[in-house]
Amino acid sequence: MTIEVASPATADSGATAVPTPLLQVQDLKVYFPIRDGIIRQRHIGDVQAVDGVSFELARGETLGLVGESGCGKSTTGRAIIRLNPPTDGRILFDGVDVTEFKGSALRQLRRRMQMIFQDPYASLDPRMTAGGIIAEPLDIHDVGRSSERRERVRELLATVGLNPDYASRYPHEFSGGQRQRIGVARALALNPDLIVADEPISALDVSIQAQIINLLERLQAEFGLTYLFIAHDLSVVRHISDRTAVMYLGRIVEMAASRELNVRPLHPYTVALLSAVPIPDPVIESRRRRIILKGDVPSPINPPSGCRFHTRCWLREKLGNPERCVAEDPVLRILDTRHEVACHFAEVVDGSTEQAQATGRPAPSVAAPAAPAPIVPPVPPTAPPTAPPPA
Amino acid sequence: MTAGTPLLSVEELVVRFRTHEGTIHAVNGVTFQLEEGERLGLVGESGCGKSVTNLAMMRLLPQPAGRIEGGHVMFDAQDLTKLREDELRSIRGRDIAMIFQDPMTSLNPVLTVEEQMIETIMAHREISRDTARARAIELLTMVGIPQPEGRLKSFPHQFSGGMRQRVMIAMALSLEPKLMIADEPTTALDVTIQAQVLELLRGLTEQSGTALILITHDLGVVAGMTNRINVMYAGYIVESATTLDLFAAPSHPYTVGLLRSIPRLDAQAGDPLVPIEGRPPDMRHKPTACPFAARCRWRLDVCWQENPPLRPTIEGTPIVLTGPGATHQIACFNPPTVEEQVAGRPMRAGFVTAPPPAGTVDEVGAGRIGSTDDLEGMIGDIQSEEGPISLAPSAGALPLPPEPEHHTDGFLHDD
Amino acid sequence: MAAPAVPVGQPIERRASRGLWGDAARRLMRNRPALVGLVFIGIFVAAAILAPFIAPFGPLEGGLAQRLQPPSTVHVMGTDAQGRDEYSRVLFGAQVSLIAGIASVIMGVTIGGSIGALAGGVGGKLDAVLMRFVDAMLAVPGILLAIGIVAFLGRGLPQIMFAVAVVNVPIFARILRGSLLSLRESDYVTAARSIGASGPRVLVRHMLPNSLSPLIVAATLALATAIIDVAGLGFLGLGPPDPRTPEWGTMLTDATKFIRQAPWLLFFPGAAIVISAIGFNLLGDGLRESLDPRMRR
Repeated sequence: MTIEVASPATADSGATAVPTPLLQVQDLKVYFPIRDGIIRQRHIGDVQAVDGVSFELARGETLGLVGESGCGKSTTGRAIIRLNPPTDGRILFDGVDVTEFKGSALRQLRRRMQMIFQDPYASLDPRMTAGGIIAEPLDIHDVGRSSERRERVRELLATVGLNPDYASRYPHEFSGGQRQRIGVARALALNPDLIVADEPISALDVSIQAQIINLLERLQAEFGLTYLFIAHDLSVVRHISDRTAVMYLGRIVEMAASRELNVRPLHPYTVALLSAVPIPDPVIESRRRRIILKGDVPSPINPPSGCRFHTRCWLREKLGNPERCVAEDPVLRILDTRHEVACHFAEVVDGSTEQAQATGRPAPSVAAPAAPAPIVPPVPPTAPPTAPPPA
Repeated sequence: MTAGTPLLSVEELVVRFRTHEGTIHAVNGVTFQLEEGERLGLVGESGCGKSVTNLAMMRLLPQPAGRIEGGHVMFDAQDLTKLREDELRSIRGRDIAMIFQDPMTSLNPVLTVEEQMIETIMAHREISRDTARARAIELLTMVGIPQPEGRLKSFPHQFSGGMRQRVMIAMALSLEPKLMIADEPTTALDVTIQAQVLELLRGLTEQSGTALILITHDLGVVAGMTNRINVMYAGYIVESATTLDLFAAPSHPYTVGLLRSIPRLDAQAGDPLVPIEGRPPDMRHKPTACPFAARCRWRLDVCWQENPPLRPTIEGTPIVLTGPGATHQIACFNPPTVEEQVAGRPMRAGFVTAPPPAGTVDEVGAGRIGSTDDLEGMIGDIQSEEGPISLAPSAGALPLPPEPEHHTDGFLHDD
Repeated sequence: MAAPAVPVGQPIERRASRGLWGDAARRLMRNRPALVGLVFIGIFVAAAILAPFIAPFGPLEGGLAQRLQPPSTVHVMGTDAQGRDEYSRVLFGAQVSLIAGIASVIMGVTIGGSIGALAGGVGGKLDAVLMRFVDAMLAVPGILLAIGIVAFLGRGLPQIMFAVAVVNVPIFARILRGSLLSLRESDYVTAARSIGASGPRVLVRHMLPNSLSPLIVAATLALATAIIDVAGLGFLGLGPPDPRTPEWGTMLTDATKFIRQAPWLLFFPGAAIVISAIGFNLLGDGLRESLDPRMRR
């Protein structure tokens, strides 16, 4: 599968009907009310876990959702699967507004979107066999006769790289990596279109992580799956996703093609996040300078005014604490081809030393953004302007 | 090198756990040394024995299951394995301090930070309460806790995870230990907080000349933090080198595998991941052969029979255990060449991974070297059950692995 | 110690899957205190079942001529004030204790479990109401509650069983509700919801089976208390209406009158109560360990 998301739009692609994205999330908000009192419960505030998140996901694409704990990335994923009811906003699946779906409509919808969980130990019922776990979606949705289901379970086990004869074993007889494969098989059982993978590898040992990443990539190629890949690890997200969205305190602060985001982060938070990721190379590490963010993430009950990152922003400090960051909430604006960023001063980030150091690359050629064109020496008038280069 | 004895010298340490499920061979003869002020990384996956090594050194193994069954731990000319409990207590905390992954479990939840810090300081030093309190404030300032006087009165749960780890570091440093052992100190923290804590840890140990043992599964963390690294697998040190040497030329197949199986932030686009197939060995059996053989693509026939000793990568080099000139050592009969270190798989013409002897699990699938596909895991699994030949109990159900490279194209925005 | 010849590399794992219960049973068999408990319980149950065959005398058989005899070869545990064989009465007493204990625990688990399942499974208002009710029951000391119930319903073995059952109801209700609540947030329950499982299905297929082990442990431990409670009621004079019934608690009460002349009359029924209660306690603790998911690896 090759998804041309990052390629520059060709002239006709704008004219011909752009295929409806598989998933559209529009201004999604998920608040968790905080109540007080024992008998009469008063509503005293909200945890604004997700506060106005919008993105689209094309069929066959992988979007990475990164951020630190409490940024709302998992809540976003769970709201899409409808494990948490959205407080506000719309979720369109295949062009249909599914935000208000309930009962059997919701159950039908769940055939098409599945989830892979973080903890392979907690996400499998210890009292069910691997076969029973994988067959459960088929049972619930009444797919096939029982012999067909058994065959399907064997097939799924083989697909995820496990011995089909393991169907009768219990979860505790498997290793972490194998359990995660069972979780993947369960998610695949109903041939879904969309898979929300919530930190699917972060509970696994390093040597096993690559096995699962490669498995997910192969399955996507084989079955044309669409992934929403939620993780805290930028390097993993960059590896597996076509596009990456960075979240901070319930908002997307930057969204771009993964490679672009890693080479040219434009939000000060993304820069800090990138700079904090250790690179397994002492030579590069000695060259990098980390941006150390001050303090902790503010509470999502009472987020800071204006830009939510302004309390910890290194750029704001560098610019002499402009009032605009406190007063005005920056919107996610398109800065470049499909590179969206929610920062008033994103232009300043581009080409800065902080940006270069964060990405771990030697002093980049991007350092001169003012001169995009190659420096052409003044052509002597005598020379023919279209002189063929010497062979 | 430095004159005299090293600060810490672990010699042939063996640790076993007796459990209902059998004996766990957690550490199988580990030897390493540490000079004053050196920073050593102990790297490996869960169950490799890195944390057990640390707990055994401090004689804090879970009782009664865990036992030191061999070797010595020499610290400051004393054998820690032979000291009485009360003699040890005065060393713990004062000379050797520890910080753990979850600071919440090592701080007492019902005492304020002030009470705990002062108690620690006064337990080992003959000073007045006021002096101890002043010292506590100074330490909290040092680790970057805002308004330390006020925060002293707080309980541990009133701090965030990162702040708690700072408090732990402050407490660990309060007695100016000679050695600090940090066991996965940042694993529970977010990356930006991890950066804060690591920076702090490095700065403070550098400043005070405290030696550091950093235990982690993350090769990225040790790259910027340590002078030397021991890579552990199945209770053995399989590679030992200075940090620069280790990353410049990772020479044990396991180290190469670890490095090639994590996506790097600065990776060139298009680098596929090369996972280590299979899973770590069952520690209930003391390996008689190379413990990594079942997962190794470089293995020879001998790897199924003998356990390679740790020895210098360049034969005949004198063994130096500490300092910037420490010898690069590996425990491997057939180390990868330089190109293979980069590629993560054997590339020699005609080389075939030695097939497993009957009755053994083959995690790699001999004869399929070079494929990056994860299906090898399955093939290994099946072989483990049915023997290598009968791959097809229900052959129809098994999709054959697609061409290794072809499915990676879509993900790797190569320009 | 000659280690078994382990093949190089990783040995083939070919152990048959015995399932979770099988593994738990295997762990239980390795637990020495639990085995001791099982032996105690075995003696107790065997006594109850075999009493009619192994007892040298009938439980009511005897004459004043043989009253208050010390232990001898004929009367191993001596005789009581009515000249009945103490050994035979202790054996037959096991029947009463076993039946009363098991019946009351089954009743308690059924009622308490249903309340807990409703509260933890449905939640919301129903949960709040049920739990306040249970709290109110818990506020009354168990034995007092049992005395009150027997006093209200009148003496009789069924009444005793019911009273002891009621005492256990709030305990079972809380345990089941607690484990259901913690399971509600567990990943595999979320996973089941995410694939479209309905509420009742999640409760029946995932939550109840996984909350059984704490209930089993509690029931085993409750058997111990039930035996003591039944004996306690008997001791307080609220035993079976027929004062001749060989019931351990009643036997103890009778024995107190002759504590000087015949202290063994106090010792044997007391020992029987203690041994059977300790047996169920040890087994319960063993079960807790072998069923605990943290012990699984």
